[in-house]
Amino acid sequence: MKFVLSISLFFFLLIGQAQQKFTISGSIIDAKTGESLMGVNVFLQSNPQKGVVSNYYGYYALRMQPGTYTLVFSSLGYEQKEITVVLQKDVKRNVKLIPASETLEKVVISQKSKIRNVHSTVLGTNSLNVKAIENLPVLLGEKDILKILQLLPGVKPAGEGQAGFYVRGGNLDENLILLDEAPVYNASHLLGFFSVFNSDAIRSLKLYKGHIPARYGSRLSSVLEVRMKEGNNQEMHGQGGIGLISSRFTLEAPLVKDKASFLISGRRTYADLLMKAISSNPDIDHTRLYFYDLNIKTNWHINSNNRLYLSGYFGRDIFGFDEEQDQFGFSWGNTTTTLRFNHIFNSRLFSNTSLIFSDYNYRIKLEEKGHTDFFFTLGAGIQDFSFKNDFNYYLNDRHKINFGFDMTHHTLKPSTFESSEYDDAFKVLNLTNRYALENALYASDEFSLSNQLKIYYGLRYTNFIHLGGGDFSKYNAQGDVEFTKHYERWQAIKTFHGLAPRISVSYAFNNQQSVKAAFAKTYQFLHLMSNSSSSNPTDVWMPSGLNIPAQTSYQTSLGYFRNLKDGLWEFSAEIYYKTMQNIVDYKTGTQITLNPEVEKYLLFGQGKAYGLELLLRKKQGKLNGWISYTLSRSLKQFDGINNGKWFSARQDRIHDISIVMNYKISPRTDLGAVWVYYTGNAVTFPAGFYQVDGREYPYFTERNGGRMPNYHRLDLSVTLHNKPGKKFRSSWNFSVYNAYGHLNPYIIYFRQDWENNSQTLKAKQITLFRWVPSITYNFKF
Amino acid sequence: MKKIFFTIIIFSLLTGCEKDADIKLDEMAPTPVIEGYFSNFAPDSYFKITMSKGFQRDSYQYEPVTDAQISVTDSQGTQILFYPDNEGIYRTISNGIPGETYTLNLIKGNHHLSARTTMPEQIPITDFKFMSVMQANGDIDRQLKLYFNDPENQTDYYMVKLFFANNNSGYYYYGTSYYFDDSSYNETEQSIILPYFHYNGAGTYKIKLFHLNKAYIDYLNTLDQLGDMNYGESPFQIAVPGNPETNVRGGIGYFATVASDSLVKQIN
Repeated sequence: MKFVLSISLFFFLLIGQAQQKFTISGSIIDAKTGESLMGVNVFLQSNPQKGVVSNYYGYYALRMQPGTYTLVFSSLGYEQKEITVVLQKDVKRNVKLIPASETLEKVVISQKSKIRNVHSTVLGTNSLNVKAIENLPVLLGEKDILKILQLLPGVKPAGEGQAGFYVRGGNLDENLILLDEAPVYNASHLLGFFSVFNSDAIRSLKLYKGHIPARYGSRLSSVLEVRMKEGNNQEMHGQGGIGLISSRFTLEAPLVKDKASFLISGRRTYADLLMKAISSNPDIDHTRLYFYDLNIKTNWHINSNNRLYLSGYFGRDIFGFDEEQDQFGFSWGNTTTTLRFNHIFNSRLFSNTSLIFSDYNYRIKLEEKGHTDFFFTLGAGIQDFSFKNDFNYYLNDRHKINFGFDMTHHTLKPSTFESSEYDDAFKVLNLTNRYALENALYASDEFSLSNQLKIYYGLRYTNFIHLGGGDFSKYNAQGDVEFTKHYERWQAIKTFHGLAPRISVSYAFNNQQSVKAAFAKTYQFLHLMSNSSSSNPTDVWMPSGLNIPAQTSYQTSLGYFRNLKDGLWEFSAEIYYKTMQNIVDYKTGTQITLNPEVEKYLLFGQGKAYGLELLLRKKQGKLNGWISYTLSRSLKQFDGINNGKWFSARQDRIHDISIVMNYKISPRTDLGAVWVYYTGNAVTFPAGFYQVDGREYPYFTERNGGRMPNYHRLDLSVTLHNKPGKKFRSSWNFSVYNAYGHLNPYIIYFRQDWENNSQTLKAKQITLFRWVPSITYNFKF
Repeated sequence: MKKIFFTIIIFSLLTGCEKDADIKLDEMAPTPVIEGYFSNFAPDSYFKITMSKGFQRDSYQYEPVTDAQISVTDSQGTQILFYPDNEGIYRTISNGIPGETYTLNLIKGNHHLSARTTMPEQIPITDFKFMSVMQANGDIDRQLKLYFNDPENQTDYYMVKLFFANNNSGYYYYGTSYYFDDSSYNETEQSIILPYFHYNGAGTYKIKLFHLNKAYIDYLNTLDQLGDMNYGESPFQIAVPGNPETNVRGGIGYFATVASDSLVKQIN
């Protein structure tokens, strides 16, 4: 009740300030495609500090005193536009921005764009424009936005070639990945080597790692917003690529010009088809090994106040073989669907209502025919249904208010098992589904106290209810059952509440430099049971409940932002300190996969992560790119591990450097280069061996007391653009991953030194990728 | 996951490469390792002592230690001594008492190991038989059905050993030890089916039921997981690397106490 009163008082005070003002509002779209443009700077020519940024749906609103104003609309990659408005009443002006030249060096960066990084309250945020990274070298030629994201400060890859990532010392499962608002629970294909995001279908992505807006919660470390393209509502266009291991094709076109459009984008790998073509081994003919993605989106501009979007993602990995006697299949994948409705109540109030579905599951099927016919199927997954309502209220030119709520029903399917015969060892796998309701109510205000001082403050109330039905046990610290109780469906087993404040302040000394500070508290109620350094398809999500407490995190960060050479260069330095409570680890020897009682083997402890992140970026010119450096630590403490002493988290990499460069040699030739270096993961190696009952076991002196060797590699690419036709453009991309062939370990294992006929063990490493070349043909029409 | 691990290894051998890893490894000093248990039935009690080896061990043979001093002391201060036999296994002639708490002391050179545990209660066997069970393929399998008085309202952990003699030549150890808990116990019949023990023809069967502490079972389970793991570093790790929880201070292994009951039957 106190919370509701506070919120009411907050709005009452703000509304009290808003008198004798009128609003100019409207939508900003791309003149060529008709797509909404988010992130466009809208400001007064007479006072560039006064302005707003268009929201995700291209909507903007500015509330000002009556008068005549010249408004400037500016966004990177578009020609700047100015309009003059006589403001005697509320005015609606939709604006079309014309894309600038395709080449980045010709894009003029407006004065506002140059100073935005200095003046905004945004701290600890990484954004990527998919267009700007398309010429960078990548593994096997597969453009992968998550791997490019890992080149930014504070973001670290899970391992060699992995799409999974760690943010500011957090675990892999502490990142909320949203595709058009729908959570993607496993964003990796092919054992983590590729992400599920087909870059042709993606318009932008933004990673919140420090300043997480109040509208987001559910994860401790970060929120990654991935937005799909909307589809061209002016004319039909297509694009695609043919690579060594996969091909992709995207088509977008108007359904009704200016009113409705669609986009469909598909990708499929064909390693299995190639293997079949070149191998004479009959076993290969029976093998399936591929993944596919399909992105679909459509939108309907009902009228100037209402717009409807429907988007979906369907992707799956398929692995298996079909032989006369035996059949085996292993598949996993995500399905997401988002239905969104934009409504403009009036010039100051914009709303977005979303219905969201997300499903991740895996299935394993084995069938053996012969003397005894036998089959089993095994599967698990997670499924969400969400309802969200988000409002933007443009109170005046100094306050932009965001508020709303969201509700999500989670169904977690730990394991379903079917077998043709009763087997005592497997019956325990028929586990009860877990259900949960996760609700949130939030409000925030972006408040410009002056041209120099801005503050963002927000509050998120979170409520998580672990629901029945079925029998649920409570375990004590020793892993013994304290009690087992039956709960009916929809009966609350355990309820969690929490208030998560978010604050960010920026003070600009001038247009060249500013300092910022942020504080964020976050909660997490879903936990990935994983013992792997990358996400495995069979990892299972578990909710907070009788045995698993809610995780919390407090993060404080400070930043210094500086523009150099009239905005051509950007420099930022951020430091952060993050504490985490109730983080999950496992008792020694715990087998996580297919363990029906994994909850009783869990340990709960605390974590801390701190670091310094430096970024120097050149935004335009023939040579552009960035250098990022992260100095950080990530530590954990559990009573049951390492005698209760603090130890390094697996992702405790002290140094992490990335250098990314694009160089335009000629109008038709681009060079790309990426160099990365990081300290090896903290890992646990044995220090000796002992024998029990005739069997030898490893002895460990310290959890994560060892280190993988330091990692570094250089990737190079050259993109040759063919002579453009009237409507058809194409290019060839040649790249080499790990160009100087450094032997980075993917796996370390120990085996007997049989070469020297010795029983001594040797540590061996396996390197996966050296000098991996790729060729990709890309086209657009 | 193991299959995936090896698939990656094979794939890597074809496309990547393998070499000696440049990593720093700690080298542990040799430390006494204790295995075995103290029982309410003296002939069952045994301890085997070996020394651990550093990572750079030159052999995987672990010779029994025969010069250690081992004693077990009850809560009244009564000391029970263990002596090594010809095979280096430490044995005693004293029976333990179920419910009593015992303290182990082991001295080997400069090492002093100590541990404390309480012997579980003895659980009496009332009967056993082999019952016919039809398999999915139509075959008949004769599996062991064990009748005993499992305590109510608690989870109990057991180990069973089955011995068989068909021509009066003595008992033969038959099959491996089987560990189980009472989650499949039939309260009405006071029985449990143990499908891992099968009928082996007419003869004399002896069954021994050991009642175990949960901590000991946890220790054995953890060892089992560690024995299966690839204890290097890979994305396909199946178990958390570490040492099993133990009650032993100053060394490695576990000081276990068990309480057993046995029954012998002629079955045709």
